[in-house]
Amino acid sequence: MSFSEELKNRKIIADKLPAEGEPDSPSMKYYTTLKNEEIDPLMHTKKTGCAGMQLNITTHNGSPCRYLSKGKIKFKSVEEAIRNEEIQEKEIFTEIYDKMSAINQGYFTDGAFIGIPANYEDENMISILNTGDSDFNSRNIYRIGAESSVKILENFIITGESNISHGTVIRMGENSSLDYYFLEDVKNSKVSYVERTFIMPRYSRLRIHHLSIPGSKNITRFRVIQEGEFAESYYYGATLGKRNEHQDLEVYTHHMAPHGNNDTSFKGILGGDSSIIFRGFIKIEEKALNTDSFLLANLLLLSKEARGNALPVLEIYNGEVKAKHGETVSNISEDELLYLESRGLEPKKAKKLIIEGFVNPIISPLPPEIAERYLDIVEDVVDNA
Amino acid sequence: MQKLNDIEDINKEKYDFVTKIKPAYQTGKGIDRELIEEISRVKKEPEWMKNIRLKALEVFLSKPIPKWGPDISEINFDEITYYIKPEDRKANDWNEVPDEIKNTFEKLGVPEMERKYLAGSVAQLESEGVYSKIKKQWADKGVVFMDMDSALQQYPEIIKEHFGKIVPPSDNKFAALNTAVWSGGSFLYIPKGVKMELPVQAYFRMNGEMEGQFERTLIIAEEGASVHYIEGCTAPTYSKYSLHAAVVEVYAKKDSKVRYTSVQNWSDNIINLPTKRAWVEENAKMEWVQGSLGSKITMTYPSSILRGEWASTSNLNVALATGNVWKDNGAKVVHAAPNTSSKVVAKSISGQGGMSVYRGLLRINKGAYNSKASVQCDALILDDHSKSNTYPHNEILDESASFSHEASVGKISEEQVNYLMSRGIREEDARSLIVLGFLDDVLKEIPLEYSLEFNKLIKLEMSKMGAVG
Repeated sequence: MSFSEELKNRKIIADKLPAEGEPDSPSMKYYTTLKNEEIDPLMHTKKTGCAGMQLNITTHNGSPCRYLSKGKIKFKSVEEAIRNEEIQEKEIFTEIYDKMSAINQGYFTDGAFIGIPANYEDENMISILNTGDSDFNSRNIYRIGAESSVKILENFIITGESNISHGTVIRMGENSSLDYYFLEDVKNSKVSYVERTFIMPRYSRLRIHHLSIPGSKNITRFRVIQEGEFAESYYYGATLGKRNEHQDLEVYTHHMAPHGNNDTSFKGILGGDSSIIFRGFIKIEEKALNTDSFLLANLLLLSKEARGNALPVLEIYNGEVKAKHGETVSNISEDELLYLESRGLEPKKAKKLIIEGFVNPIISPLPPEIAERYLDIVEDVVDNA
Repeated sequence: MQKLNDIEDINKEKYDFVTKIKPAYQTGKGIDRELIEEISRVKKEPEWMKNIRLKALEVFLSKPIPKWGPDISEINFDEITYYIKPEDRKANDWNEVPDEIKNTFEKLGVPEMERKYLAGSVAQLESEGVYSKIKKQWADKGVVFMDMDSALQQYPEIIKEHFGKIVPPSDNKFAALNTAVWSGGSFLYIPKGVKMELPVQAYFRMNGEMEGQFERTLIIAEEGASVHYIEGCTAPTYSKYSLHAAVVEVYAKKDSKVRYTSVQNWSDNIINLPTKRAWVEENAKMEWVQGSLGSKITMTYPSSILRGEWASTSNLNVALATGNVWKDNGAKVVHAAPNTSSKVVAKSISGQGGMSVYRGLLRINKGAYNSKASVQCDALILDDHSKSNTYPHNEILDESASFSHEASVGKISEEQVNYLMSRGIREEDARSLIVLGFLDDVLKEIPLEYSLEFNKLIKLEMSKMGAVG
């Protein structure tokens, strides 16, 4: 099938797929009800170009901007990369998972390509800043060459009240290693669909650190596709809700080859009348023997109006595996509070301490400046709770 | 010590026999308005029941077959015989039961079990109850235990008040089908304050192919009552499928305690789609214990709605999926009142390409403060081509609730097998022992008689797997 046919095909599927799933199955329920008028803008977006952004690597409303040269790293629009035959058109597509994924793949109007060559090694982070202030639908490709070892810090900030769809395919090379820090701040958006799909060949290693401040309707998808054997992936994520945020977050790990390893750990702190649905999905194919896959989700509810759903799904098609998941939903334990207060801590400080302890496993591996910034937000949530 | 490989005395063929019984009455194949009216007429039912049936038929016809879960599109509703009446008379002494029917149940060990340790029993063949008995000491206290059709004649007011309230026909396609064509099942009523120390049992037997069994069970435990209800099911093997779609409604009123144990050993051609649900009132306790061995496809999710403060429920579930079998088991719990608690433990084993699924719903409503819930599901996969899926669905809408969920999937640890073998146990036995240990939490809750049977059946299934067990 040619590129234009595939694109057309995706458009047709996007139109056909219902926004809501099968309502009568407890496991298939769609958690975020989207109205047609909310989805529609994403099918009719325009390229806006950059608004004078000049940082390390930046995109604005999905369009790649100029950047300060970073040696061997390539950075240009997807269009240009296709024209120069640096990527193949089809690389932009992945499996279609649901309506929003089909809309992103079928109707994107812009996108950035970042190419990191083989054998590239850098201790310093590659910083990517994505900003947006109007409706956009973009699809990006990051390619990491074989044998390279990279750290990427990606900031994603939406400043305008807009509907956005931002998908990225990250294609890793054999035996490459990626530390991916993703700071998602979409609190100002109306509807946001943020997707990161990682294609992992053999011996690749991936560490995802995801901190998120969702908007009123935020759908975030992390899809880790372990195509090659001995792939290793970790996801550590935390979400903070303090007002009326709604996040529908899915971390999907697909083990397609033997000897895969995966560890997913998620913490949600919910204040105000925010709500979260966390779906951890582990799929182990029949040939993915000797796979270990773990999933842990903890949700902390701070207010009476907060709601948390956790849906850990395991789909396992062979017997030579170890797979586990665990999840908890609770509020701050009165016992712990009392203990700290009896040691002379003010109630507010005690609460803060407990919450900091709760998110510590996610925050502690982060670089200190990011961790501090996030802890400030945690404090803010506690003050408002 | 009992020899671990002692499985000669038990095999599945025990249930795999067909008794030639000429039914006293039988409808044609297919479902329509006339069929419903005919069933209602033959049963001499009150008008209101006929109306409920007809309304349910409309719901049934309007609902699509669910697309999630196992593929059940092979069910052809026009090919099924919906109502088979094996005998005109209903007996309450085994001596009055016609020989061929009695032999069926003798072979299954039902009368023997009744003599030994039951307070009462109901036996159903095809669509109708053929036998019911409640021991005198309990009957004197006002306990009623009989087949549902007789209950409708004798206690129409109680039935009218409780029928279809917990599981309305609109709940799902198969609940609607059951409401439209229901026949048989058991009715159990325990008056206020009566505590039954001995369990009662209902035994359901299907004999034919391309038939449907649609029993309807209603259990009412009044304030402070307690009861243990056991349900057993078997059928012989045919090449074509048969459909079993039961509805069970349980009222556990204030301070009562109901335990519902079901041991299902259907043959491999039965599609089993029951809807089981309980309303649990203040301080009452509802316990579901379920052992699921046979059948081709099973989709069962016993539910408890915790409606009163301090109500609690537990749901223990064991499923074995070997061969071309899809077990879709689970539990549903809704916490609708404060201080309620629930516990779900599900264990599944899949081997020889079998598929076992845990699919559950746990919901803590807003205002159900200080509720506690835990869900644990463990799966054991015995070989490389068997499958196990877990879909727990949890909705926590109250901040003061505490909820935890755990699941694991794995295989038999070689270390454990080696350890046992080094102690002189044969490999085959070591593996059976580990599997039984894995199931122990749930097996110990199943009544002894069944538990022994269950152990043997699991060993039998394991031994069939050759290298594995």
